[in-house]
Amino acid sequence: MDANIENMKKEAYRAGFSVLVLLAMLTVGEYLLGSIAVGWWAPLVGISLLKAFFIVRDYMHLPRLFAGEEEQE
Amino acid sequence: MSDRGRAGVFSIGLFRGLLGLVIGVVVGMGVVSLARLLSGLPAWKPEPAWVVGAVFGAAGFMLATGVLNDWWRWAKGEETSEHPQADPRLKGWAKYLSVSYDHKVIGIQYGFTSLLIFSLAGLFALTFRTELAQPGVQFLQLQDFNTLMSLHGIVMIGAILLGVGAMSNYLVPLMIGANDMAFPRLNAFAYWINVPGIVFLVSTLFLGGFDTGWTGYPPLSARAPLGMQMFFLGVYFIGLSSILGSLNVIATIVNLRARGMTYFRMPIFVWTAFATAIIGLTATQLIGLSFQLVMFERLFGMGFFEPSLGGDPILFQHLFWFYSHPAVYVFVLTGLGVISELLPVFARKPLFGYKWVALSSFGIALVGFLVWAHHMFTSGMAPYLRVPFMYSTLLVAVPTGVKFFSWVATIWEGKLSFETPMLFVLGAVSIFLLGGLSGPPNGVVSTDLHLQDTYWIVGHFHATMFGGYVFPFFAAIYYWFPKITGRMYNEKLGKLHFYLMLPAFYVQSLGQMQVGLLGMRRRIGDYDPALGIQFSHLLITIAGFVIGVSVLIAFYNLARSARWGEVAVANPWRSRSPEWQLTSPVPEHNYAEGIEVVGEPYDYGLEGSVYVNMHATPTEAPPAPPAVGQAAAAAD
Amino acid sequence: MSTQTSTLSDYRRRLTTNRLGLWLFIISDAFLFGGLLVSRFYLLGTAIRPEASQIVGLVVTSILLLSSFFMNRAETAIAHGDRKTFQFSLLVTLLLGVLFLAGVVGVEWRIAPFGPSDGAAASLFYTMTGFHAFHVLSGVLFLAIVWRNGRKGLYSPEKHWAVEAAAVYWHFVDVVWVFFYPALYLIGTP
Repeated sequence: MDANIENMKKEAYRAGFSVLVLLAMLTVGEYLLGSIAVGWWAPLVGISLLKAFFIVRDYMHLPRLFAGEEEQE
Repeated sequence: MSDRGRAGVFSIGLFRGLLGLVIGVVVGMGVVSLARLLSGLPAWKPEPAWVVGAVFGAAGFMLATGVLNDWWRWAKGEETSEHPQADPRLKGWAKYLSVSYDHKVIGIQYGFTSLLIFSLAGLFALTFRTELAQPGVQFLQLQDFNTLMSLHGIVMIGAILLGVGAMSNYLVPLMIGANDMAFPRLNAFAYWINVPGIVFLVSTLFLGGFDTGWTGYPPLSARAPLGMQMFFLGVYFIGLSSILGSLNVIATIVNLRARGMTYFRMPIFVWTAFATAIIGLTATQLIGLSFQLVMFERLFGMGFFEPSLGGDPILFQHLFWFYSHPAVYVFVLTGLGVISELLPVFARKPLFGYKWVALSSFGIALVGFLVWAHHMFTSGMAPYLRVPFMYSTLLVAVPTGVKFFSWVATIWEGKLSFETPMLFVLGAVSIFLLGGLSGPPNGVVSTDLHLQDTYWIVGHFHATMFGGYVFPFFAAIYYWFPKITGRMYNEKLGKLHFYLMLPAFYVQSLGQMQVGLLGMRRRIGDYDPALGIQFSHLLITIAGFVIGVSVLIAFYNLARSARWGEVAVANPWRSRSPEWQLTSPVPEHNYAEGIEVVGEPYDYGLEGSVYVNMHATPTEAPPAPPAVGQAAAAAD
Repeated sequence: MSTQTSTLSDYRRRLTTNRLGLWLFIISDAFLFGGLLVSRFYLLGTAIRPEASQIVGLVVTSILLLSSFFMNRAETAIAHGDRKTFQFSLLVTLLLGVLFLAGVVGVEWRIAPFGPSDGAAASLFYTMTGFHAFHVLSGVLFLAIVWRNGRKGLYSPEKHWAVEAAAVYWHFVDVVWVFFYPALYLIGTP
């Protein structure tokens, strides 16, 4: 039981970290794109939407809003 | 003795709040002056001092009323009771002048405040209407005319927003079988923030006024007197109330419905309150933003709407109308909900096409988001936008038509009875029809180019507001009066109110349309006698005074009946709605035993049909243990 | 504690309502920021942007992103009963928030080659970063309250709505910046 909780905790930390890596990569890409290819606004908006999607889903836990009362986390 | 008397006055939240407001304004002004002094500028500059003073004043007001106390305790890490209680020492009217968390008390606070500023705005109207009875300038200088005309508009809008708040606060929890709103503290906050808002709006009278009309278009609003800023702040706080109130209504409807109260078994009024709240929650931010941008333009010399700095005044109109058009649906939707709610009761027939009527409110709300630029056909915006906005505007007629057909079909072959609420409902239907039919000429580009900014628009708008809000609101007041007070209003005076107000309104509204077509511009304090509209203007003015008298009769009736009216029978209208199955006035915790919905809401005249089971035997305890909760979720 | 189960299920019922309320607030607030973005593109189009420092922009963006990570870590920690990580990560989030504010208001506003009244692009820059900074500031205050109450041991894996609310709000402020960053720093030329 305890080991199980410990595992879940590690898994949750790891998930949070992988989202950070993903967001960091997207941000670097965004910055490079913005400074190299002037005038390419559409891909920048696309990257923003993608970043927002990951934050809203994985950090803000939007799906929790639609979860029932009995299942938390 | 005098000490105790003073303590007594400040045991009342409103008075404490007003003291806090004054202190806040002074502190805010002091902060600005000190900051200016420290940065080497002359200490006193009226505009920033008043703006910051007003913000501090609003904060001081809220702090002093005590509406923030529980949140402060949460921040300190203290627990508070789940159901917040008002100060139990307050009795009678003192309870209504202090912070209360009971949705019924808050609803009445909203309603009373609404009627108060409704009268105030009416007074403004009568003042400048008297000036318009004759061409030329008689007693009102044009600058004052502009201020009164602008204030009439915005204070009326405040009154309507508060009236809508009154209806949804009082009725929504009762109708869905809940014991309070989802967030009682937020509910109280949302009411009380209106008070400084109203104070700021009225203060414009003493701070140079403002001459832009309630729309506050730049560049004029960027140059108007100081009153403009107080107008912006007043609107901002009333808008904040609208946003938070809407949030509460949505959360209440989604999460606090009684057992068996599925969405399609809710009373139709709840549907309209829901649709209204969606608009209020989202679009209101845009009027707040547009006004704040003008505020910053004035304070910091920013250039959003100043073409010489690369700005564009048309942007303001886009932001502004993105709220202010849907706002008119905020004003009328709950009123239309009252009509749909009351007609079946007085016709003793099921509401025709319940599902369609329920969804038509959402139709109106959603289409309402796509029509804003029909206010801007003459503004100089890109011409290709005109036709799409014309079509989306005309599309609003479809869901509105659904409602009309439902009303007519509900009346059809009904066993009608004509008590005062029903009279107001029928009056509302006829006036809203006038408002609706005078709408398409404004929505069609070719005709609107001629009608824009004429008195025709004034007539059209007043018809939609009286049909969609004023008449239904009075219908609602008379209808739920026995529920609120436990006493009956005077039927004769109620009917007198109606029979004075309806014809007077028709004279006023049709007269406004007529002078508009004959060349009268709106928002102008004078007109050319050669237009030949003098007699019409006189009639409109007289009609305005008759409306004023009829409203005074209503106030007399309500005030007197609340005290001395005859005690009302349990369910005077034989309504099926759950709130009428309770005692009047409603007990403090509404439905102590919980209710269960077992049938359809409007099956009037169908034998043996039941809507609500009042004493739902709690087979399962309301706070269901997880296992049962899961089963219930699965059953959903 | 015989009432434990009933109060816990009460708490969970409140929790669903609270979550809905917070998300409704966020939707409402999103319209405000949406309006600002619309204003920015309406006035400047995609060809012009304010003349702001690229380096500062990238740095503050990274700071805010990192703070979101630590916020998530703090919330995960309290949900699994790891108090030490919770308090530590929360403090890091808070400090990163303060650093972000210092970067925008203290550095960027000071080194910008324009004042708020120097044209529409300048006005937009100060207003958008200002509105956002105001939200960051309120988030920092919220975090400070949660941190203090956390030290008192007020939160448990079952009951930590305040932490969750602070986290969701904080991430929302980050999402706003996700859109503001390209709009103010990357799209168009000064």
